[in-house]
Parts: sequence; C-alpha cells; structure tokens
Amino acid sequence: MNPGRRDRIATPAIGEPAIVRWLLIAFVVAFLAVFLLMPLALVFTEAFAQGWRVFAEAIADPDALASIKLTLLLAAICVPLNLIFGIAAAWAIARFEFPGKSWLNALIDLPLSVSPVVSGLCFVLVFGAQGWLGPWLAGHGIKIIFALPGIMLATLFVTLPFVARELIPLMQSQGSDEELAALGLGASGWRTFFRVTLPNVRWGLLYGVLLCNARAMGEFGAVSVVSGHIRGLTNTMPLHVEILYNEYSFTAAFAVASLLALLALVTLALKTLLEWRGSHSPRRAAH
Amino acid sequence: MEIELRKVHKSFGGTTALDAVDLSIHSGELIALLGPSGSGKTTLLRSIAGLESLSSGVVLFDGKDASTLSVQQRRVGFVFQHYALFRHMRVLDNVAFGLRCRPRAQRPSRAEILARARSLLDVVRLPHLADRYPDQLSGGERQRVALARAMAIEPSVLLLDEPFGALDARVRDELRRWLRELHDANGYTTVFVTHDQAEALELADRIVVLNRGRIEQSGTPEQLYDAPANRFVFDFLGRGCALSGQFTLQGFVPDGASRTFPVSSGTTPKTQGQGEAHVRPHDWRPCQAQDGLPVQVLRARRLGAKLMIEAKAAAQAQIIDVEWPHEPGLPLPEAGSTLTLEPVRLHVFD
Amino acid sequence: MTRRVLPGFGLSLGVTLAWLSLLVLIPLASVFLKAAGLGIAGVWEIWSDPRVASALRLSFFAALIAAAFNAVTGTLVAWVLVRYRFPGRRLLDAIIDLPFALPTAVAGIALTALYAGNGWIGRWLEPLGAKVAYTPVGIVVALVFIGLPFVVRSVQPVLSESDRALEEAAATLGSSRFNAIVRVVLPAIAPAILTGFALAFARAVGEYGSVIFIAGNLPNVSEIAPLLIVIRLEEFDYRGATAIATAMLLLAFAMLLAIHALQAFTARHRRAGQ
Repeated sequence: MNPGRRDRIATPAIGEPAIVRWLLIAFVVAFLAVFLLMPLALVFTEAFAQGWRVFAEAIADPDALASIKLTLLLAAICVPLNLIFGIAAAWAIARFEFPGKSWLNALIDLPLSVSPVVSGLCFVLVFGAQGWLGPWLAGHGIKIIFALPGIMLATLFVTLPFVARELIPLMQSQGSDEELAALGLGASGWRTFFRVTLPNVRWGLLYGVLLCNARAMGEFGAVSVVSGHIRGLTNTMPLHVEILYNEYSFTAAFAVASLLALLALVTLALKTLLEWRGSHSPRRAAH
Repeated sequence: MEIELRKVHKSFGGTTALDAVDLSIHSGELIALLGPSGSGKTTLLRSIAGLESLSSGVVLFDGKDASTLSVQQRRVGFVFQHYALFRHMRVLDNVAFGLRCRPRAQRPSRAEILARARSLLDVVRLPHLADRYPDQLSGGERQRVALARAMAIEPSVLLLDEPFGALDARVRDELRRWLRELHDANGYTTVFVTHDQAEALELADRIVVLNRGRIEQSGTPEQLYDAPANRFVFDFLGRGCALSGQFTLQGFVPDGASRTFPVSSGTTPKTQGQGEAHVRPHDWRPCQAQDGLPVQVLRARRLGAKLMIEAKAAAQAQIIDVEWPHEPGLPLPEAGSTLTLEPVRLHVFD
Repeated sequence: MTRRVLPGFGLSLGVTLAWLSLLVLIPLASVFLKAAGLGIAGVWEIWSDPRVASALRLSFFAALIAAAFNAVTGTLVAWVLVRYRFPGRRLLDAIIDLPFALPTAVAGIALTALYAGNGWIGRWLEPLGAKVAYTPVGIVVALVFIGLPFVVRSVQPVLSESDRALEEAAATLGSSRFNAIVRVVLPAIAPAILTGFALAFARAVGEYGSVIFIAGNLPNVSEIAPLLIVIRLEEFDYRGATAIATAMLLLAFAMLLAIHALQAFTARHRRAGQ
C-alpha cells in the first residue's frame, strides 16, 4: 500500500493556513453548540429545574401516563404495519420491472414532502364530520377523527416511507442473484424470502424501523389536526407537551419533553451504531 | 533547472517512504523513477513538487533551498495519474487556468492567455477539442490536455506521475512515443514515475531504480540493463535465471558444465567456491557438446518474432528460459530433445 | 429480475398499491377534489385574502431565508467535519441529525425557552434590541434548526469523495488556496448544496410544530400558513383550509420536481465522466 495515500484529509502542503482552520473549527463548534446542543440541554435542565420529585410527579400524572401509553400504542401499531408495507414495496420495486415503477417510487416519497398539517387535513376531509364519509360514519356511530383511528391513520401516513426508502435502494444494489439461486435449489418463495432476503437486508431494515419509530412517536402537526386534544384520551406525548406548555406548566411540559428527547438521543445512538455496523451508509438527507 | 535532493527523508507515521535519498537531476534530462508499489517513487516526485513535506533533508532548485517556496511558487508542471482535469471547465479553460491564477502584475492579457492556451493545444494536437468538457474526452486525450495545462505555466520542470498507467496498451505506446518527441522538441527537464520497466527503458535518458525508499541504482538504460548493481535491479529490469555453480579465479563454472565462463558484470566474490550467477534469456548461445551446459528441452514455442524455450539442466534447480530470434523455416526444437548452451553474459551480485 | 422467475409480484404489488391508494392517493386526492369544487376563482379569492396571502408569504420567505442561511453554514459545517480532525468531531457529526430525530414539539418549546426574554440566549440578545421569540425572526431561527441536517448530509458525501488531486493540481498551477476552493472545489459541490437547499426549503415551508411556539402567531405578522390551516379547521371552514393546503401542496410538488431534476442532472454529468 502506498503510504502516501494514507492521510490526505488536509494535505498540509496545500491546505488552509492553520489559523483559518482553527477559526473555522471554532465557528462550527460554536454554531452547533448554540443551535443544536443548547436546546437539547435546555430540555433536560428545565425538566429537572425543580428537582426529581416534581419531575416524577409530572410523569406519573394520569393524563401524562395516558399520553405515554397512547404514543407507545401508536408506535406498536404503525411501525409493524409500515414495515410490512415497506417490505412489500421493496420487493415489488427492487425485484421486478413494470410500467409506472418510477411513479410508484415517487409516490412513496410523497408523505415526506407534504406539510404535516396538510397530512392531517386530508384525513379530516375524508373522515371528518363534514367530510366525504362523515355522515355515513356518524350514522354508524364510528368515530375516526378526534379518536384513536384518526390518529393512527395520520401517523401511518407520515411514517409510510421510512422503511421502504431504506430497503429499496439496498435491495436494488444487492441484486436478486441470491434469491434466484435459492429458487434454483428448490426453495419456496416464502422460504427464500425469510432465509435469504431478510438476513441480507437486516441492518437496513432495522435502520428504517428506527426512523419510522422515531417519527411515529414524535409526530405533532398531523396528529394535532386529527386528534381533538382530549386530555387523557386522544393526546399523544407531543400533544400533551403542547397542552402543558400552553397552560404554563413549564416544568411538567419539559418533563414529558425530556422523555421524547431521550428517545431522540437513543435513536441517534442506535442510528450511528447501525451506520458503522451495516452495509448502510449515511446518505441523502431527505428524511 | 538543476534539481538536487540531499539526504531526503520522509516517513508517514511508522513507515519510511524515503530513506536518505540523494539524487541529482540535470537540466533537460528525461528521467524515469522506476520501482514497485511502495518504493517511494511517487513520494519522491511529490516532494520535488512540494506536495509532500520532508521529514529531513533538502531539495535544491538551482542551488537554492526549495522549502522556502510554496507549492504555488515552485513553478513545477505536475501531471497526475488520473489527470485531475477540472470537470466543470472546458478544455481551453483548463489549460488557461494556470495563467489566470497569476497575480495581476504578471498576468498576460485575456486575449493573450487564450492565444497561449490555444497554441498549447496545438502542440498536443488537440485544437479541435478546446470547447469540449473533460467528460467528453478519451483517456489519452485527457492526458494530453493535462500535459498542456502543466506546460502553460512555463514550468522549470515537468513531473509526471505514472502518466500512462490508466490507458490501453495501444494508446500507451502512442503517447510514449509522443512524449519523447515532445521532450526532444522543447527540452523540458522531465521526471516521470513508472512501475513499467519497458516504459522506463524506452523513454528515459536516465533511470533511477527505487526500492523501499532507497535508490538501488541510477544510470542509463544500457548501464542498468547490462551492468545491474544488484539482484533487485537485475530482476526488475528483465527476466533471468539463476545458475548455481563454482567460482574460480578465471570465472564461473555452472554445475553440470565443464567450462569456465567469464563474469561480465558484478563483482566476483572474494571467497571462491559455491555461488550463483544470473543469465538473461537472450544471452544463451548454442554450442558444441563439451563447451557448455547440457540441457533438455521441456517446451518450445514461438512468440511473434521470438523463439521461447524452457529447458532443464540436470544439476540446476531452476528452469532455464531461453529467448532467441525466430528463424523462419527452421523447425522448433522438440520437447525432450537435448541442447548444449553457453551463457554469453553472466551477472554476479553480492 | 423477471416477473416470471421470482414469485410474489402480484402479492407485493397488490399490497403496495392498496396501501398507497388508501393512505396516500385517496386522502391527497380529496384535497384537490375539494379545491376543484371551489373552482379556480374560489381558490384564488381565498389566496388573495390579506391574512392568507400574508401567511403564505411568511411561510415562503421565512423558509427561503432559513434555507439560504443553512446552505452557507451547512456547507461550512460539512467542510469542517470532512476536512479537519479535532476532539469531539465524531460526536458533533452524530448530533447533526438531532433535528431529524427530535419531535418537532420538543424542539419548538426548547427553542422558545432559549430565545425568550429570560432564556439562556434571549437574555443576552434582548438588551441589544434583538427580539427573537414571538417574532418572525424566531420563525427563521426555528426553520434554521430543522433544516440544518439537509445541507450538511447532502454535501458531506460529495466533499469526502472529491479528489484531492484537483486541489493539488490547482496549487501546482499557481493558484492560491482561496482561489482553488472557489474555482475548483465549490463548483464540484454546488449541485449537492443546491439539493440540500431545496430539501431544507421544502421541509421548512410546511413546518408546524417547531415554529408555532416561537412565532408570535399574530395574524398578518407572524402567522405561518400551516397554523392558518389549523385555525380554519377549528372554525370548520373546510374550504378555506383546503385552499391554503392546495397552495402548499402545489409548492411541495414543485420542489419535488426541482429536486428530482437536479439529481437527474447531476447523475447524468457524473455518468458522462466515467
């Protein structure tokens, strides 16, 4: 190996003068500290501003607990559903050719470009009291908007792309050779899928599930529109944070927020771990 | 420009890339730095350009310490292995780049810059490609543009890093010939790095063979080929086989032969006795049965204008490669037939 | 990859299409259908309402300013993370994705608390006359926060793949470091910067949770379009909400097209270079 190729990060011979380098580093570190680290630190500081006991009381409050349960329930339902969708979409798109494939791909990305409020709005338009299905639902006593089903639909919408977006390029780059080999050896479709495909994509899959989960638990705008904000019933954790904040219970608001921030940190840590681990590389920023 | 390297030493972390190298490069020479990967030849080239800083030692340009000069100030024309053309600029703008970088005081007028760039494209025979982008050029064309770009700044020395490594064999041959013509026409001091001994032997006025950061030998192609200083240079510059035998005061007796042959290059070891001598494939001649080394032909085949024979001598461990010009009309020696060979030139190393 | 050999085409495509239709196509179509019901004149009338126009303008320009700011600082951040080594670099690199991972409501209240008059930063800025919280400036600050990762993550891979030999070539040709960066490096990463800008802008235009706490939410002053949609919904003015939503959807689709075109353009150029 040519030793000259080894460390060319900033070839000393032609790099910026040291003073410029250190000024830039200082600027970037300061910028990131102010913009990213300070808000994060503030969440935890404010949560514990009045001590552990107040923090614990805020979490243990029945409405807060209900919101935590609802958030967990949402994740437990939406993530597996979109996982199945993601796998199905990846199988169809990465393994077959058919007309309209690129449109389908673009369609999957759509929820990411739509404003969360608009996402919530479109479900209100369909299922709301004045929506297309409103009268029919009212007639049958089914509540979608301002109830759990509505929240689920909105969350399903916004978390739809995450698993698919990780799996599709991964499976495309891996190619179908191994699956074809398995079939040639006599394996059934399902066996091939579980024994050959899934193990190959497991890190990408986990990555997608991780991002999907983070969004499912943290979604605010879309859920806010369909939820009705009924305390103890249709409030997720982010919505509960909003309620607490708007009634000036700041410490309580930050206490619940700190749990979400903790979730974010765990997500980031696992994300970094998976990026080092898997054949997955951190890439396009369009989350 | 005269370039001198004195005790140039470069290490990266724990590895030594250049080990106290001394080298003089004279004005107008076309020098090849030849060696295997990791020999330090590219590091040496880059040190002259200032792209590598030295751990110790000094590079002198016309007697003056070049470390006082930044890369920008050294006026070396560097041609990179993968051309490093600026993708977003047209060919003409690539060539003109160096001229446009000059400080106001020394910068020619806009019209003159373009004129000079165009004339350089003429020199490299690519005037029709001035408005194309590098993506649209072939490898050989890109290499010539890179050379034109380097020449635009009127450098005192041209440095080429494995310039033809990434090209097809045919393009490579054309460009080698063309580079030699160019050098003969304009007389630039030129240093190029290569791992291809044929290229070095064909092009260079002088070859510097490097191995693990040290200069093994420096000399004309003839000197290196006929009188290699050591086993490494011998093996690197061509094929050969090792013969075991006895050293006497008169020369060398290969095991299995009864005659003593004179040693043509290298030093006869002071201790007479068992040793090794080396022969190039084309330095064998057929001779009378008692005058040489009896061998049995294992395989004979024709390769274009040459006859390649693999033979085995009973007392020799290595297979002997023989290379002769092919005489049309004469049949190939059969496998299993016997020959007697005498070595015309023997090389001996410590 | 032929349909006949691998099984499961029908099933996978069926599930995909069904899910997408139910969750994405039909709901989004309902927005356009409702807007169509209003007619172009009706929609235009709602857009021209001063409060609506002001909200749309605010969302648009605040997003633009934030994305532009992110384009510059994001490139700087990417440069420092890729080219330099310093203690804590890995940690900072990991934390860049925080705005992706953090729920928007949490970001919203944290930023508000930070820049309010008694906040850690606000208390320094306010005496200088720079009021951030509850003003349009606060909106831009929040949008800078959530847009930050887009440019950085867009530029980083391109920068780390860029060939140092180009910069060395520029230096041997006599170019100063500054000139080399401006003339050689920047043009090479420009498409990535633009892509990052477009992504940050698209995200910022529709952003809700991070913004509504720190914005003043005063109509015609600091009220963003998504908030106005929510307000209209609470008033059961579905038509008004839909009209505004249509404007945002049209903008989102335009951005999507622009980003795709940009990526196709770069891919074509890169392929030509092989």
